[in-house]
Amino acid sequence: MKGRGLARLARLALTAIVLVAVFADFLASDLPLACHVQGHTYLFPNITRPAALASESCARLREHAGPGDWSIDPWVRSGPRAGTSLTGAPRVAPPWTVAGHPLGTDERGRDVFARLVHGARTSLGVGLLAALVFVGLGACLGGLAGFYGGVTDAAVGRLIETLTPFPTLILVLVVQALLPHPSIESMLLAIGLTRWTEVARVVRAEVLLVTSQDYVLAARALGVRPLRVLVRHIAPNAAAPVLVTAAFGIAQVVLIESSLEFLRVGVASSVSWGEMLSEARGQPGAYWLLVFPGLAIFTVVAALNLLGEAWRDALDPRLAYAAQPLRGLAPAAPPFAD
Amino acid sequence: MRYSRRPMLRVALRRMLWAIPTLLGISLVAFFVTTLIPDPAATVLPDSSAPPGSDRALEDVITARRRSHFLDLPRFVNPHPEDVRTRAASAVRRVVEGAVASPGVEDPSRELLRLGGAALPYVLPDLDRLRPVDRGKVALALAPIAERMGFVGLRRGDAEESSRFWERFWEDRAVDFNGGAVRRAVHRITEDGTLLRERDILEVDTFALGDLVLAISEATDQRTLARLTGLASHVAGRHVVLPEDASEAAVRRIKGDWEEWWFVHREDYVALEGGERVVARFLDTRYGKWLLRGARGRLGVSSRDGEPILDKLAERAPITFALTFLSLLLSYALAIPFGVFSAVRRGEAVDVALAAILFALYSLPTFWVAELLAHGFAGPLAVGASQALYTRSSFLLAVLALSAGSVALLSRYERAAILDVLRQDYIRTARAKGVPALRVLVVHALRNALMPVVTLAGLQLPTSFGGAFVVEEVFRLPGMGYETLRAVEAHDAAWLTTVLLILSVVAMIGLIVTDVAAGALDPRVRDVMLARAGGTHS
Repeated sequence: MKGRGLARLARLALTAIVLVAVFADFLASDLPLACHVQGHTYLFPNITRPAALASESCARLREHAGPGDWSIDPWVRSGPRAGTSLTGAPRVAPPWTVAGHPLGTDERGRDVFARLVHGARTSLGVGLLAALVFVGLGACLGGLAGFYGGVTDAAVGRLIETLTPFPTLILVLVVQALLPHPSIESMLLAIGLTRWTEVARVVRAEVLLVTSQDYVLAARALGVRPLRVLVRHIAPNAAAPVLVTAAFGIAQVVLIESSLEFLRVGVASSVSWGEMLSEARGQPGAYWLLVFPGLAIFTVVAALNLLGEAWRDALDPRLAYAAQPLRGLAPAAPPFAD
Repeated sequence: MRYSRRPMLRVALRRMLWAIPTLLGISLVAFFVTTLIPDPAATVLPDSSAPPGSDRALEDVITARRRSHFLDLPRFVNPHPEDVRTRAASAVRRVVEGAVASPGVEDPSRELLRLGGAALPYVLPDLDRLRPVDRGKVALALAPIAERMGFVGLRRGDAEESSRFWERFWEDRAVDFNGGAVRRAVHRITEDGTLLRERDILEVDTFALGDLVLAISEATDQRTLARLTGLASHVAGRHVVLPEDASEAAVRRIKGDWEEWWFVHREDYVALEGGERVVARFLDTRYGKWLLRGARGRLGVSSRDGEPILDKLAERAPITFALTFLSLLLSYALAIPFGVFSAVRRGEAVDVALAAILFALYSLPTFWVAELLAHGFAGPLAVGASQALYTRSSFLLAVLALSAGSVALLSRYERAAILDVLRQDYIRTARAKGVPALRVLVVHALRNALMPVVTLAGLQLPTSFGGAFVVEEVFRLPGMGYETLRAVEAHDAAWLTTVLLILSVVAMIGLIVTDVAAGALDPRVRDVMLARAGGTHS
């Protein structure tokens, strides 16, 4: 599995999906990118959602266009939530059969492409924001444990031991079920607060390793304050493995988020790939409802895993040996490369 | 290197000792999750603008529900644990002050009635120390207790007569308010119940509740049980009486109900002495009570269908555990040969192809694989049916779907481990000696390369549990996951927290077992474990 080519492919795929997520409204929206209606010019109504156009859609605007009215439509003229606006289109349409719905429609007549594109936002957004929480928490706690040792180390160690046996998926599921008002934020927080243990483990080991190096000793001998030693001399060296763990971690979060949505315990209002797959269960014959969201999840997860491996090999060959029992560490990441 | 006798025993013991703080931590996390449940006082109350006391029945329901979740107690430390003595004293004080009910605080005369006979030993002796006016007020507030005790003829609203009555009462019957005497009286009821014996109990009122509940949980024959529950209901103001010709299940439910009620309300009727008071600072808290209740195996009943959680667990858990452990077994059975094979054929086309397939499996969501398997193989068979159809083939497919991800992960670890071992000198020595290649691989290399993969089993367990939930839903297997998803819809908090707690404790045991197994397989790991505090994962 080694090879620059694969890593480059993964990077490319990930960049593409991030761009799709950011510009989702430009690729698929029920409102045009810009339009001129009844003397008013709207710029990016698909993002600003002006009240005057609340009940409009691309197709309606075209139909009822008066003289001098014009509009620039996005590539696909359907939003992720509204049903099809094309008259005569079947409810469950296979891909490439109905013009205007390149990837077909689902049982409620909603455009699959639009839902895929907007679902990327949920998946990547949850993944990245949760990563922010668990990387920050893990790096802080792991760094403190490794640097100060003693009681701090023992306390963080107990905390990691405590959280390790919790199945993240079930914990988040239960938290979301018990909260009176579950939201994307609560899901993010629940995932972030339970998944930091891997980062903390890696950071702690790395800090221990770096602290025993001569240059850290030299810095201390020069009278540099401990906090500065931690930030200036130790942190940069511990950053690489954090990046690797984060890549694998985000992949896991994307899987967890889609599983939650698949089980219908996510956030009802969001558009997500897991939810699409869950709805696809009601339509056994409609392969496109099952294949496209599945492929989307697979692409993101596989790209993140590949990237993580490539980074690990490039930045820190030592991590490849994390599986060795004598370091007493759970392996940080699956060794899919040599 | 230090040599010690029986190192394995020491490793195992040490690992288990260190599990105690972990268990405590797990219980704290689960407890934290229970605190997310909204307070009934905040959700049930329709509008808070209504004057307090206007809807007494609703308020009582809310108070009872809050108490059963221990929401009236502080979370971790209770600096002033309440018992019957403090409750009675504050109620008397409020009666004297002429306080009325306010939100969150019970009407003092109602509270005195609830505390009943158990409060009398702490109220009556001090009665003559009060001013005559106040004495009358308190005696009046106590009058309904006398009615409940069966003393008729006490004129309502006559403060002076009430005062005299209670004075005389205490002179005559102070000796009856004595633990031993009450225990004997309750015992006599269970032996030969006569009306006279019942009067003995009625005249000490709630003072006998502790012994009554104990007798209820020990009683075996239905007649006695009916009499005891009747007495307890009368005294406690509840209506949980054993009906005639009750079934086995009804008897169990009623016994459980009384035990649970006593567990929640014990401090209303019992005075804490010396040491108990210190212990109560930590146990008479929300966390302490919650933990004690769980430890006693009282997991409550499901709010979805009223079935006891314990019975449900006994029915559902075997499916989930069978699913996870079978899939773990299958994963190892497949992953080790795959890993060895691809390590031997390293860099060849077969290795690359296998790696690609396994990598793809690793990156696919479990539910997608499961869905695909369901559609591909069992489409017409079981899945898609509206009812829970649970066949052997769907169970096997579920095991297969659950194994996909872990096979991929484990085989890659096995491959890396074998490659690592094959580089070692002792392998070269074995080959140089002329040991056949297969024997080198299986006997010399595999033994050492198993270690890192075995350690992973414990870490894989929580992930597998999560996967099992998803797979159960797809294949409609009636396991814990399937039940949990139904519980999510019904906000069945008791079931949800129990599942979370049980699965994490099982996963923790799995971690301990794999750690000890790692120590048994490799003496070096043993030494590291003995030299360091805590488990190998800290």
